[in-house]
Amino acid sequence: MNDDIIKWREEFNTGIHRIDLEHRIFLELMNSFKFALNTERPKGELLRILTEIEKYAVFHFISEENCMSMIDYPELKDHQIHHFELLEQLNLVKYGEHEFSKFYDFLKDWFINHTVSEDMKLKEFVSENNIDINRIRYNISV
Amino acid sequence: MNNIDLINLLIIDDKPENLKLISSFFEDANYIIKATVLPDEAINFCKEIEFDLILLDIRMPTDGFQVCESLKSTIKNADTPVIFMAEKTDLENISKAFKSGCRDIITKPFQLDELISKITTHSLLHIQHRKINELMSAKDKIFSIICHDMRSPYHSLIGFSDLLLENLNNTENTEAYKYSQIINKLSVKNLELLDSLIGYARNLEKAALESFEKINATSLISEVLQIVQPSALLKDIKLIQEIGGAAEIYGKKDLIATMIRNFLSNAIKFTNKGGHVSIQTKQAGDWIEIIISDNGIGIEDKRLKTLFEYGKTKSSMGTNGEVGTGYGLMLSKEIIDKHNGRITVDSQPGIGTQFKISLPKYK
Repeated sequence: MNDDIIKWREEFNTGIHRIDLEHRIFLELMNSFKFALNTERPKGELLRILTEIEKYAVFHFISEENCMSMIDYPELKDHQIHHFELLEQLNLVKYGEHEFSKFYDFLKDWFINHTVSEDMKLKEFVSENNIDINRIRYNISV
Repeated sequence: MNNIDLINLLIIDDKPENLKLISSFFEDANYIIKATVLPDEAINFCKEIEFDLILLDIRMPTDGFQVCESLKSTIKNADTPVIFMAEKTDLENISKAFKSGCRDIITKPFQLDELISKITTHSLLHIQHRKINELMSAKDKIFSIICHDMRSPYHSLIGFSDLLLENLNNTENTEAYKYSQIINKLSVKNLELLDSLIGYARNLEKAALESFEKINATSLISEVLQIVQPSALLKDIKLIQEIGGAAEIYGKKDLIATMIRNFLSNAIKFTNKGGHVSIQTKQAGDWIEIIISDNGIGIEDKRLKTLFEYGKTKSSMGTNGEVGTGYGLMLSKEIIDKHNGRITVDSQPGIGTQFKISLPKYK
């Protein structure tokens, strides 16, 4: 079991406190989904965790998009499309179009790649433009 | 007329998995589904089929709003309701969609029960809406045929009674001349009434304020009394007009005449031989009151309560076996409503009935 748990890694850190905090919770939700999969919990339970992931994803995506909007992040629109994509996939797995384990693989891949590549672009933008981290933390626009 | 048991649903989404998924929810139900990833194909479907509902993804390679416009520009689907689909976090498009006048939104990831309920409700609503329109136009068609068939005999009556009057011009049979005159006058009046009713029914909604005018209630009542006089004579009923000063109503003349005629005919119908019917006008502030009383058979309490309600009142036979359509009171009430007027009724079985109609005074 423990082998399957994704631990927080240094490379996940965006340096933006709020986003990192939310990513940690997202990772915990993914791990609980994986745990339920491994222990062959009934479908209903898996669906409940999926609902939790869905609700949290919606919250987190808006949270992240708000951060980006506050600092006029130029790639906001592209980033948003990645978010839409995940919600579409989530919808398909919810109704059995995709298998649960396949969805977990998608989620895992998505989290690692999305976080590492896409969210890191945000990190770079913040440091290149000397944006005050507190502005993102408390949603302060210019 | 379309078969109402089958619902035509069009689904457009750029992801085939989504089409497959949504279609699968409606497989066993009474749906005929067309699903496509191609907007052009959707437009072609719309040229051929009148859909009951369109389910359309906003975020596609071709902008969903543009696709929607093209679909709605087809003749068959100009009125078809559209439900947009958008991701839950796509706040911008969700708001835009509502502003663009879509029927509803389904957000992804969706809740299955919500999706099914929205699609079923909106498509059934649309079908009902369409059915009502079909029934209305069928009713209008029947109405105009009936009206046409009813009008023609009056033309014959007028034409032949004109001929009679010409031939009887120099006759000594004054009775024959008098009766021919009554037939002629009544036919002309009734044809006018029929024409105004046709006009009224056709323009029920258009009976706008602009066609309202100043009406002299006293002279209008005198005119109507002349029309109902023959039926009162038949039953030896005395018609009394009590004039109470100048009474000018603001309204539509032919409608008010129809309404008064209805109440007077009813009063005569439900009054026994030798009775009396009176009509009185009064000023009461900004209102003109028209009071029609009789010493007829009266109305029972139970019936009194639902007298003006649609479908609740069946026509009763008059004291002399007169028949009615049962629509007279309803139509009269509607005319009073159109004038923002009021009506009250007071009746006691065996003693008589009094209707008090308040109509706006001309200012």
